[in-house]
Amino acid sequence: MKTATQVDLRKGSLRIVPLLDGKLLIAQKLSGSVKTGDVISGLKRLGITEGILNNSIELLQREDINEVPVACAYYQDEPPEFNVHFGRKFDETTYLRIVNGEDIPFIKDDLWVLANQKLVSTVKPFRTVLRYPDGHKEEKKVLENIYDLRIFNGANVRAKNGQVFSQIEGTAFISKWGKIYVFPILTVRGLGEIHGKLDEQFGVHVLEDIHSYSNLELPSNVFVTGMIHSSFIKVKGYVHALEGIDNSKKIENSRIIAGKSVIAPHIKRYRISAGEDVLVNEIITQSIIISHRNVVARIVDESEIRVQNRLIADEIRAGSQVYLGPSFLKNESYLHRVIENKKAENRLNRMEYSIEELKDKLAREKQVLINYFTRLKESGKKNVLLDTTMMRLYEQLKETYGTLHKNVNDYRDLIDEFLSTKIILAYYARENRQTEDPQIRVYGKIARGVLISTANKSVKLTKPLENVTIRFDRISGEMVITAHNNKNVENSVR
Amino acid sequence: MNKKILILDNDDTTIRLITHLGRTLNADTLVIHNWGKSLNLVRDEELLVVFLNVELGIVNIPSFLKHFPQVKRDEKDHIIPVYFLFNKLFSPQFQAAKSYPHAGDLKKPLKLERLVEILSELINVDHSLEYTEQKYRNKWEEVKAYLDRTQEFMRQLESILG
Repeated sequence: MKTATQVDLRKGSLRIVPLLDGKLLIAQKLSGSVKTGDVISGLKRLGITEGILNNSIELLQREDINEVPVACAYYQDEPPEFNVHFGRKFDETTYLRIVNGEDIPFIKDDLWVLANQKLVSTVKPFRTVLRYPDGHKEEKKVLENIYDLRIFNGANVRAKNGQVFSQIEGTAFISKWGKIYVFPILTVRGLGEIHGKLDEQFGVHVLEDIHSYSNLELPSNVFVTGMIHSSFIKVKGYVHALEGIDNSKKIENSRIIAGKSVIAPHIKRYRISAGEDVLVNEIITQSIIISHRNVVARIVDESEIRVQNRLIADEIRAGSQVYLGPSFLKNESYLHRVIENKKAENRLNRMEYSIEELKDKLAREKQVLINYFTRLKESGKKNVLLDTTMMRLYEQLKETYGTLHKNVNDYRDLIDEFLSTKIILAYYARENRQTEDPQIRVYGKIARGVLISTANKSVKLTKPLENVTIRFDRISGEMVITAHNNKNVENSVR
Repeated sequence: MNKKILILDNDDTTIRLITHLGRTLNADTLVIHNWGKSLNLVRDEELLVVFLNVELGIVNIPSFLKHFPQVKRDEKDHIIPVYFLFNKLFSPQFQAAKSYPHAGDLKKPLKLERLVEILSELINVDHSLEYTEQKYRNKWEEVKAYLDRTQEFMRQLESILG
């Protein structure tokens, strides 16, 4: 942010002024009254997402305070950037093919890796960055010998010379935290209720169908050559069903929760939650889809779609609801880790106090011992070992030192844990940072009655639209509809 | 240890504004309402800047400026800048104080931009921005150095005591 910008809030307006080359942002009250939540959402609309000073913003609620610092740049350890040597990238061309109804090739072969195969190599190492409130970063220095790439070792992999290799043959994926996993793959003909709960350490390839009432909780990928029927599937990796996903038995517990993408030709009456994309080259019907990245489908019919970045479709039929943007998605595991990390920081602070106390105690005991030792020497006592008081003081000192040693070791472990969690959170934040406005892109028709909700607006279409992009403009808070067959038409829904 | 901003004022708005800005730039604040009784709390080497409300009459300006001289006697002298805060330009206290050497005057309510300007001249902003990871690494280095020293002492003690 380079220049002062005015931001309108619900009951007032502010001016955000960048100082110190954009490292510090201050807010000046221009009119009306302001609430902390409004200021934070106003800042986010301006793209100010980093280093927000919540305590300071609270002061703006007071009548007598008209300006406060609201965000400040900070340094951060940045995780490495990887070049991934397996898997498949879903880019714009792939999305277009899906929207056109082309089949999505089976992802299983792309994720298949051999023992000792190079999985990722480091393009940029661990480094310090200065992160500005508006999100842009300045690289400062490379962090040498501080972090170990093994932080990103998930399972059955080894890190060496800035590269990660697979230790076994199997199916691989990189989790949302940047951890790299390889698991052996279990190939079965079919799965059903009879197999009970499947929660072992492997990936699964089902040659036929996953039948109703199946229950899978796996740390890896699930590939199905047939269909997934009314089952509960929770995996950390990908789910790809070549013939579709259908809750034909209308079982309430039928759900798919995947850490990565969910891919199928059609999804019917299912609840799907994906850490990345949901890709459907035919139809999503009567389903609830939650995607932390993009939803790409040829047709969306009578479904509820909650998507963080983009919904790309050829047709959105009546009865559908689209909730656009991150405010409609809960990210519990991320929030949980952030809270745990905060708790770890509090524990570190408490441990510092107890170490300080022990240091004081040790200093006192050391002084008493030295004084007594000097007195003994002065009194001409030759063998201090025979003096019981001397030995008692020594034992006492040794005990305190032992406690200090243990506390310091615990402190070291906690610092390591804290820093590695912080770097993993930084990886997640980097990979999921929203660079563009959330939007819906429809190449064909979007029917009358479709409900579209963004963070602060909800509209029900009163007439069908064709070939449009509906974008949530984060700065103005407006929903902007752009018709592509007539590029001059730009229409805002107010 | 962070450097301190000394505030001699009783106005909550001013105190909070300076405190929050100081916290953002990693500087602590020390607020004093009674200069006479609190003199021993202030150690010059820790101080970055002083903001004094001259209209309160809580200090005798000449003697206060003896404590914080504003003119360098030689090159080695370290000046802690003293800024005078005031509400009314023509108040007798401010008019009297103005004649003494000082770093600058700030009319209340304080302008944040001016405060940032003052502090950024005194603090190396790039070094004072928050860096949590490095903070804990530095703390660990301190603790480790202490533990190493203590370990050496214990080893020597053990060799003496057999």
